[in-house]
Amino acid sequence: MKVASPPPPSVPDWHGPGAERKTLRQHWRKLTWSKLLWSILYPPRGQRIMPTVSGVLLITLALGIGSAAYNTSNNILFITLSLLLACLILSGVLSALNLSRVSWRLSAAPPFRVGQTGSAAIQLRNRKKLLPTYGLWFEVSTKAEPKGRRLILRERLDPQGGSARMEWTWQPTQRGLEVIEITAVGSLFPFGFLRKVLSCEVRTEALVWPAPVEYQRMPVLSPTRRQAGQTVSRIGNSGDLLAVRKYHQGDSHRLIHWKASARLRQLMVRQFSSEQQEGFSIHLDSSAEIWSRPEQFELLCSFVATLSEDLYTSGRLGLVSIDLDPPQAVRGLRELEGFFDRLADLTPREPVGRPTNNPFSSTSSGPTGSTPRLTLTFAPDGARGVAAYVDGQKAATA
Amino acid sequence: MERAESPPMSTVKKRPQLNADDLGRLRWGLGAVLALLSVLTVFFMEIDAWLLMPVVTIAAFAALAKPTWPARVPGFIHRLAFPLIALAFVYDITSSGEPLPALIRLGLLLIFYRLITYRQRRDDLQLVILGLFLIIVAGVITVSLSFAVQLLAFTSCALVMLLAVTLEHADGTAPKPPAPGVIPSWAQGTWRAHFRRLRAATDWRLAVLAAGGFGAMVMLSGLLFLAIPRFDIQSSLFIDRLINRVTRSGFSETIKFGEVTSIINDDSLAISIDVSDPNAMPRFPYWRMVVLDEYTGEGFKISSGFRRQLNSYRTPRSRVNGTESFRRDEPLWTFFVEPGISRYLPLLGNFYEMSFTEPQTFAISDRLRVVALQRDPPKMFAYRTWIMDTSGTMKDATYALARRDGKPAGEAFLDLPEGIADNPRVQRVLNESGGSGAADATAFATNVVNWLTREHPYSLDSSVPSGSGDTLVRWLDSETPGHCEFFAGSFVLLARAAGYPARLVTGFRGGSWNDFSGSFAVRNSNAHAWCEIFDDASASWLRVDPTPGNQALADSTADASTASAFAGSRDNSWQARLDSLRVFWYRRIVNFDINTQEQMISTTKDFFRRTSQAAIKWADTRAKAFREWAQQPWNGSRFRDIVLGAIGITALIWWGRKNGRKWWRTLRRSTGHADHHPIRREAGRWLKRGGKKPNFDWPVAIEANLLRLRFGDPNSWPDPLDIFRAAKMALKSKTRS
Repeated sequence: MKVASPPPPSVPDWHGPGAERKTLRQHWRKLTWSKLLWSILYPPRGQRIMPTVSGVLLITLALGIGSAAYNTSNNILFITLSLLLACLILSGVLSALNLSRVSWRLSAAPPFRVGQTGSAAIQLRNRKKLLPTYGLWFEVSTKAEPKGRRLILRERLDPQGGSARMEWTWQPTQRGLEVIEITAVGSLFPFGFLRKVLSCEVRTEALVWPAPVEYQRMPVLSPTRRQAGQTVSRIGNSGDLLAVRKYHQGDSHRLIHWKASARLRQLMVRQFSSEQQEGFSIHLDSSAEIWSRPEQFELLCSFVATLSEDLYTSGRLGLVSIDLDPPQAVRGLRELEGFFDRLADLTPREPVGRPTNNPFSSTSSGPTGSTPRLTLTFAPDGARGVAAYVDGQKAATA
Repeated sequence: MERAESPPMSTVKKRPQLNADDLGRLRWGLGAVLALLSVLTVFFMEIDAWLLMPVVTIAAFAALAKPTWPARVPGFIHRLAFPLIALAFVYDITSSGEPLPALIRLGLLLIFYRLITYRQRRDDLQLVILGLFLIIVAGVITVSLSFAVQLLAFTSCALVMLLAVTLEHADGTAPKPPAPGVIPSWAQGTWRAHFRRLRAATDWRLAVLAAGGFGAMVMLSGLLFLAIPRFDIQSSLFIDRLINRVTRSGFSETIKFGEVTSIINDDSLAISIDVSDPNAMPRFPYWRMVVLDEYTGEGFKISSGFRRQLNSYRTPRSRVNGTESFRRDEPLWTFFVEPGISRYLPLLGNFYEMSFTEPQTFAISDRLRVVALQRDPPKMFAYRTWIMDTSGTMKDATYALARRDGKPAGEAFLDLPEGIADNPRVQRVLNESGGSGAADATAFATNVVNWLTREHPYSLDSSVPSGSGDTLVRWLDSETPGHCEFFAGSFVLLARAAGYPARLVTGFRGGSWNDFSGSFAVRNSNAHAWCEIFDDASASWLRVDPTPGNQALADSTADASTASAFAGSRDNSWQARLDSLRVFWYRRIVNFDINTQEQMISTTKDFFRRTSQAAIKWADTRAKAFREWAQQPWNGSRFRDIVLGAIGITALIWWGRKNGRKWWRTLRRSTGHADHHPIRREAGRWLKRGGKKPNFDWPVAIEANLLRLRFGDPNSWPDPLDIFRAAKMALKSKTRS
């Protein structure tokens, strides 16, 4: 029986002059006379070539020597002028060769949370047969650093597939969609006369989850003692086997009961007593009527994320829902991350009326045979705080 | 799926990376080399900077030997450096009054300062610009071939240094300078370790490519030099007037006879002459420069009348007409005179026309047949003459007429100081030599020259017996040796005493053909002095060379055997090779002007036109032959030939389309493409080495791995380095046993 495997994370594409692998024939087919002539006169789109201070000096020197040479018809000055011009041309050719057949890709390493250090990396590759690549820099920007920063490749990028990796870290400051972008690739190679910059809009997006916050728990939220007939509310492997149930996506494979699965011809998992504990469901009403202050709303998202993470860690998180969305069971990390993703993107909802009934009632239950779950709802606590309630009772505050 | 083109990078030996310290040290070393190259140029300029040059040189070597010593320079030196340098420059320029030498000394001071401090990026650029300034100024002033060599060396070092600077500061930002007294990390360590790391990090193929790239850049600059359009603005560069250079030659307007004199034999090139017809070169050419007509008792000089004439300069012109008459089919003479020879232009005799590359300020004396520039040219000077008299005699009808009518005014060709003409010793010499009874100037010259040759040997070290009286008379009365000036001066003295007008001429005599450049080279050692005596019968000045070993009255007419006569005097030594390079440098590069450019374009155009015409002619001939063939009556054999030819061509095309591509792919796979892989090649080399060793068999495992590396799929390769190491051990152990 086949278990559907999760889809692999998408590999970012290569960008840059060396990204496309074209044969010589393909290259020549695409080349037309007009393109060739135009490329000589005008740099390709997105490319900028600007002289640096030393380049301006060189050009000024060449102009000065040229003027003197023409004024005096002195061939020594013409020789010097020709050599300076040849140096400039050589500089341009080497600069173009330096960037040719070099490709890069941007990859981010989620998860990202506000206030926590996140990392991303640029992978480089040099497909040239003989020439290495030197002295590249990359301008990267994020929402947290809109001005961007410069990453410099100081080492040599060897030919024949030589690769390098440049990592950097930053701290997101806002939840939501983070765009990590390479805005430009540049180089001063070879002599520092010309600054060649390729503007490339290579970007990757990632969701930034809300920041973790400190909150205060009330007795309602604390784990209860075991009563007669009730199950242990401690997490661990020592829990008694209570039942065997159907496999749900996200369940650990170690819990699979193979004999039962073979007998019943479908995957079955063991259900231990540690699963059977006082669970909570989280319902979040993001109405703008309730959450009029933006900072309070942010605190709400952070609080909900932190609380749900703690409950999941202690095995007491059951269902989650936001507004009128159908409740979703959180059985594994994937569902929790999905919930965080929704929290990352959450904005105050325009009031369309409160739901007539709570999607979770206090007597609603989760999977068959599980103990009833309590529903956590949230409301502002004063001007700045947020409180979580269970059946009208304050369970936690932040 | 991507085809594996190369094994994983971990199995390929990686070259080490150069870190910031390596680049910093490389930059420092190259900066010192640039400073040395810059100082070298100043030696050629003969600027008064004889203290600064060794100081900068020592500082450069010290910087190379001990990169840590700049840290010991006290901090106050850095604070005071620029104010002191500025003060020194202001003082220099106000006291010397020469701006360009002051600027050059300022440049040296700044280079010195950059050598004793740890440079940042901006300071490296300053060093490059200072060095370039010195080289360019030296090139403009000296116009020597060494400028080209220095410029190339400087450019290559500067480019490598700029590359190191760029790699060290790849983002273009300047790091913080080190605090005073702190030694940067790159300055520690040894050069040996540094060069070892450089060598390890350098791929030889890349180094070859870089050298090729530099060569291509030089060629490109050559093409640009030829292609840059020239405009004839006719304005000379002011730089050469900002330096007063001292003439190196002995050609001055006075000759003094001392008690002891010695002449240094300088073999360097003085003049290079191109002549359109080598047969026109006389057997023994005498290149007249300065004519000294007045004898003062101490020596000879140009009389005041002629001096005034030779200091009256005409409006700058590019051409001047001489006194020679026009003749057809006469050769063109082009002279290239080295700097520091003289302001007087060497000539064989009268000329029809003289031209310069740019307008010159000059004076001309038709009586003396001498042309003088306003000043000694500081760089190689070129001029051209057309139709030049090479006979060695100069008609002077004006002087002949003046002699018939009485003493010519303002000319001292007969003048002698009082008492010389009647001096008994002079009279005795005249009697002994037979000069007093000579029939004419020719006979007089022959007799006197023979006597001088008999009585006085030739030597570069001359001596005159001590005593009173005229120096030349004392020398005449002795038997001491003398050089050409003594012989020439004595002859003039005797000729005037006998009543023959005579004058002393200085210049060059002889020369040799340069086998490489095809030009006639005259060296400084060919400097000579001779005389001219006036012959009333022919109303002309006759050249007389009284120096022993030379023909007294030389017959300098060109004859058919001139070229063969000079066969023995062809110079193909290294010196001649170098001279030919210099002449080429000056002729083809320094003198490259709009006319030469037009000529080059015209030559290129002609070449392509001729080539295309020849190609068209060939095609026409082939087409005509084909038409004639086609028009001939048809027969069976012709029909058979055509059919067979068509079948052959069709078969070839068919075979090419069917098998050509497959054959090409097979060829690449089996020979070229696979062998390009360095690991396969290396494995092949090890297998071959094992095969060449007698009685040697590879261990089974090693051989299998080598074969796998040589022929197998790269995905199945073991670690090549381990295999090659094991193979090496196996071969070594076999060698030992």
